Amino acid sequence: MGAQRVEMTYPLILSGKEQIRTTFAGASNFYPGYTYQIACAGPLDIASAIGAARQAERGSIVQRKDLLKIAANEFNYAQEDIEHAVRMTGMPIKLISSLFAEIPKILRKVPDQILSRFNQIDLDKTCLAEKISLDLYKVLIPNPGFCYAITPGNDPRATALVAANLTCLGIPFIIRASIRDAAAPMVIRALIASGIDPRFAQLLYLDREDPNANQNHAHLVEACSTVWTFGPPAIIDRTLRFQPNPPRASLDLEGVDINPADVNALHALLVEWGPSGLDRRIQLETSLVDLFTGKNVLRHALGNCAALASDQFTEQTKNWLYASMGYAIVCTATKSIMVVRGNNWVNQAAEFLDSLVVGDPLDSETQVGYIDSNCLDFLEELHRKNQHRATFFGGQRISQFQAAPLLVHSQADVPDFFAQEIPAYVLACRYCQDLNEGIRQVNHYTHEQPRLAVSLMDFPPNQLQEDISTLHTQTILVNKPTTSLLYAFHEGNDYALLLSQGKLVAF
Amino acid sequence: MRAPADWPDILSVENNFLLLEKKILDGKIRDYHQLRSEVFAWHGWDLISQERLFSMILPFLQQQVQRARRAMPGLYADHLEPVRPESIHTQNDWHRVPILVKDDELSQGLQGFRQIVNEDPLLLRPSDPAAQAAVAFRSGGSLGQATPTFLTLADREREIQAWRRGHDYHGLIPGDSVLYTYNTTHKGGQWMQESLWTHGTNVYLRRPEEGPLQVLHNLRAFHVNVLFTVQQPYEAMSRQEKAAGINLHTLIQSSLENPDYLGVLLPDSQGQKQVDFIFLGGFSIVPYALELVRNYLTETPVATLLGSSEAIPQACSTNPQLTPTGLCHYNNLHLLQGPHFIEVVKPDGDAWMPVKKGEQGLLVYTSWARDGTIWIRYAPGDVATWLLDEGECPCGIFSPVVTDVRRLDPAGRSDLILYGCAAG
Repeated sequence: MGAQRVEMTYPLILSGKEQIRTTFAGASNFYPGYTYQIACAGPLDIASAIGAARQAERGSIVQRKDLLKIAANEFNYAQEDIEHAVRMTGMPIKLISSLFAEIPKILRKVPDQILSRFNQIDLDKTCLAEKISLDLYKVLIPNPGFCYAITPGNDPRATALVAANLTCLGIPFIIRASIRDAAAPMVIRALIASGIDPRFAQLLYLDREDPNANQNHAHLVEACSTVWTFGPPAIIDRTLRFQPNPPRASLDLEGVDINPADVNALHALLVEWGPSGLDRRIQLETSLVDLFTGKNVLRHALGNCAALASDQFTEQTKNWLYASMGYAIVCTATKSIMVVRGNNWVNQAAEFLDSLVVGDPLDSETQVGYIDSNCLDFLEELHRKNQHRATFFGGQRISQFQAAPLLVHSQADVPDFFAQEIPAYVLACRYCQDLNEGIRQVNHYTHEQPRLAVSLMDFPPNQLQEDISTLHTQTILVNKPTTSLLYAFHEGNDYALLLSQGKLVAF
Repeated sequence: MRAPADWPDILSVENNFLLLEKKILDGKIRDYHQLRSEVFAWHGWDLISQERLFSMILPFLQQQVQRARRAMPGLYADHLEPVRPESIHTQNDWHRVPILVKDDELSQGLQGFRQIVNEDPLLLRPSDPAAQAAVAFRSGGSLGQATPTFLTLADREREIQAWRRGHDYHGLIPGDSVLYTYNTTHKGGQWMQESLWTHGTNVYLRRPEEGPLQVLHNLRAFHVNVLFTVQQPYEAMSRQEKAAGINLHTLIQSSLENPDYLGVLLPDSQGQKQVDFIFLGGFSIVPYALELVRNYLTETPVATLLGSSEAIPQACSTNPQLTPTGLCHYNNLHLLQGPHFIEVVKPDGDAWMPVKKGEQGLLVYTSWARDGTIWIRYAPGDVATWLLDEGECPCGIFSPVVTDVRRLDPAGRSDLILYGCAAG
């Protein structure tokens, strides 16, 4: 495919104004030559956003709920937006279309979900409140300051999720969107069109290649009260949380009979030692500054979602299975399944996965899209490494960016597939005697931090009541795929409580 | 601030200036010491032709050439050996006085003085009694080790008074309140304070430990309507030594981030603001500062004044609100004559002749009323383009206008030049 430079430019949206001062280029990893422009926020754009967020009107909960409903109606997008998201993520267009279509639903449902718990009965209508008893309420006061949210490139719903929760809870925000996130500007535009204070919802981008990007990010973190990140801690810590302090050198003066405060004596000593003498005594020290110190931080634990399934393999199971693993690059994708009392489940699953249409993600029939080549290379390496310890189905490499879905079946201990999250179309499977063993196996491959979600498919309800509380996970989904988005509780976070200060009011 | 309607008031040659001119031409004044420092605040210097000006300052040029040969022999004995001061009568005679450079300019056969002055900096202090009790200000040394310029109290008075013409062209009037963020240990920072004070304005300094928020607070607390600040470009922020100060960028940044201070430097929601004028001085207004003005300060006039440790003032732009039809805005600068004679020249045989309109040349100056370091046709390394001949600028100031003043940097270290030494 030849170079395909589109005229699209993603603007900053600051105080309701769309701004493009300087731009940088974004490019698709999957479609060579596909490039577009993104407005880059400079330090004064950032200052302007910070000042506006600090001044934003928060309104009452009733007003905010109404505004979100209007925003849901105002949200609109074009086919080219969807195609852009496909080119940037490599995900099939059918999946991307469904994610875009879910955005208005998020904007409507979040206030419903939050208000159903904190329904502010009999109290000041400006606040959320939990009615504990007739004379006791817990009032949720929005956290002061504003939220700086860094949204990911692999989920077009992320900005809507952030915006809906923060708007509902009354916290102004500045979104730093991924350059791969095609939906972010449309969500912010819809909010602005709803009539919200334009200072409440702002959008900017930072060019990671800009030498000042880290400084600008640090400044935003410093100014905000809440930081909202997506992605595994290992990546967030490295990219968004810690920054290096300037290196320091220390001098070992052990056995040296001088007063270290006597600079002249120290100078004389350094001259006497010379470079070779200094080499033995000088030590370079590096340290990191934790930008998140003192901030309210919303983040999630490791993904590595798992499932437990009964031996049934029905049409419903197929739909569930595709929904669980077909959105391969997100942290809520299911990466391993324990099948209880199974004997033919793997073969049926392999047959099903083999039937999935692998192709150009822009093709509406495609079910398996493109994956970053590094991930596919890594997967191939794990395949080779474990080829005698498991049975492999599918996984044929079709191109640099594409491979057939890989199903790995093993009754042995294979943590490479059962214990780690690989953003590709891959599923590890193991048969278990009963649900308890399945739960033990899921927990066995869970790290210290709980999994984001575990799904249970086709189990009798009475059996679930007995067992599932021992699962080491933040969320348990029954007959729903792990990729199900819980709008007000994504990734185990209870946003209403995390973004508010609860105050008890007794009458 | 001066109202636009009052601009013409400063465009007439003062009677005292005419009297001074007559006395000089009559031979009653032949020594610059006979000039009171206040004469340098008169606008006449900028309102007469170059020919008249040259006739007025000729005795003092002759005096300083004579003095330079005698009192600064290490620098000038050989350099000015062929020049007979008494034989300088016309501008053409003057153009044959050799150029003095700090660094070797081999293409022109010029030998720089930096090396010998680095070995003995006192070569730059005149040995005669006039230069006793001098303070040494070092130039930035962007191309090597800094060299000193020696100045006496009287020299300071002359330059301070001369700078007041710049304040006039910027619209400052007695009673204005000025806050400046410049470094008071630098010559420019000291002179700024004293010239503003002398001009009759209220002056507020920034203490070194005060950050941008405190400066904004002080602007509001003291009802400041004029801000003198450095124009540190954003690109240089990563340099620790430059990032420490307050500058236009950080003040705008703090104003944006702290909306409580909107209405001070940046306009509030009603479009009202307190600061009526911003001085961005030292050198050219860099592109980033112009971008800031365009994007955030569209209603606030900005101007500059060219000066250095060696000579203040050299040229200045005017307040665009006072001179809306003028062509002397931002980096288009009227030459300011007195107490230094400013020229833009190019080589022509054995002479250095004035450039013509549109041509670029070396900016040179001669300190014809100075007790301390005497500069005779000294080219510190700046080039300028002659934009308008005298009398051509519609603003009414008669002196020529130059533009694109920048440091000639054969080593290509333009960043040091562009960003200057204006750390506040």
